[in-house]
Amino acid sequence: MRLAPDAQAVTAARWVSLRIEAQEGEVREHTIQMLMDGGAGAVQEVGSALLTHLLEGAELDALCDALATAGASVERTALGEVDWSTRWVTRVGVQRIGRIAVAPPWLSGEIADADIQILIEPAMAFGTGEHETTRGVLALMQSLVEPGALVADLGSGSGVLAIAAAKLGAGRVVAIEMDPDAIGNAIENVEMNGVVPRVTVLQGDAAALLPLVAPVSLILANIISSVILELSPVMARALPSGGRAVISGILVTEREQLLSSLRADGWLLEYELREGEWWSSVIARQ
Amino acid sequence: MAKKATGFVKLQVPAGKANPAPPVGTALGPHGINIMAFCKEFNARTQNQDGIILPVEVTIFSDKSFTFILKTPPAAVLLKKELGLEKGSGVPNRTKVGKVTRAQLRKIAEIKLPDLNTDNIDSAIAMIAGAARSMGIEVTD
Repeated sequence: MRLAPDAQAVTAARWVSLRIEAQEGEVREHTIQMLMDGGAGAVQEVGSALLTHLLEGAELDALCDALATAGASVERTALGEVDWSTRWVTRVGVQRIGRIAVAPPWLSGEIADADIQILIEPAMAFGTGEHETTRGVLALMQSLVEPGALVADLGSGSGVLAIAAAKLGAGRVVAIEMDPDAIGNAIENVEMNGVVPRVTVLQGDAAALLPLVAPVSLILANIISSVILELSPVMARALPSGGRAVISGILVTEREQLLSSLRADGWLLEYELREGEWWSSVIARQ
Repeated sequence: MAKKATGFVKLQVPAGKANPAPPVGTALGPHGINIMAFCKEFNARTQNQDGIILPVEVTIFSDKSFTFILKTPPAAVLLKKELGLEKGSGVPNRTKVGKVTRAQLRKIAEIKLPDLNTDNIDSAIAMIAGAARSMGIEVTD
């Protein structure tokens, strides 16, 4: 297997690591709460120590002051160029789903025989083609993209589904994503796959942006069940009668409950697919 | 043949809000597992728990696959959430910060039961009541 040329650090932002000794009990819980309130995305527990990482700045300084006032001993270390997010990237391989093949750029040669080839630079965005949920949508959408159609991809992540829609013949695809970290990666992937004029990447809330591009003829939404449910009325209004959405990011255990809510919103289940613990499906507006 | 576990990582992550930035990335990255896959699954499984901080234990295997166990939030976190409190009392025997009813204790005990060393709901309630008192929360009927 070939490896990535050099997996560069994804971001140049300056991260600082904080390590705090905290005994079990309320003080520890309180310290964790302070770290979260102070901007930490999560806390790692290493023995009795708490470890987290924050970006340099005023918020971090304020947090350190607050921790010191609370009597905590804080070990603060600036992180150098750390390859913390890309190590798994070297293991990203080729994915084949029906007529579509997805690969990282350095394996482009291995998918040259595929009908539809998609290159995705693995980064901080969801959707390298490896995940069951991405594969589920790629499988289900293949027969649903009409030539020249307008397609919306909600929660587009790396842009993999939007690119697939364009390559399957869509006339225009609007990829909507909230996460600012994913936008750059999506634009890079859209350019690399040569679908620039047809795929537009928009940063923002799908509930606000989808009505602005409606009516669309197909919606792709690989998100999470609670968000899909929230978006369900907005999606229904954006589609013509009989219009379809491919939904994923749903656990098999959530199927029943999600389906009954979707039925109440006027959706019919047309097709479903299960891989591991993930469930993907095609739903249609009545 | 059983897979060999090669790594174990303990994290506290807000429900539904895992993302691949540090410290989740820094904690899991060195083990070579797909961080995004972890985040996606964690968020799907915890999305309905309203951002509450959850302890999660990730086990990594030799083939770079992983599994994780979600723990229940600490009793103190659940008590504060139930009562809408900012924090516990600094002097719990003198300064009381709130009151908790038996019904509220039972609700929290039911959530905590899987992680407690008892199957008996009354023992679980007694444990939660103890945690409440130590935070300066009065137990009422």
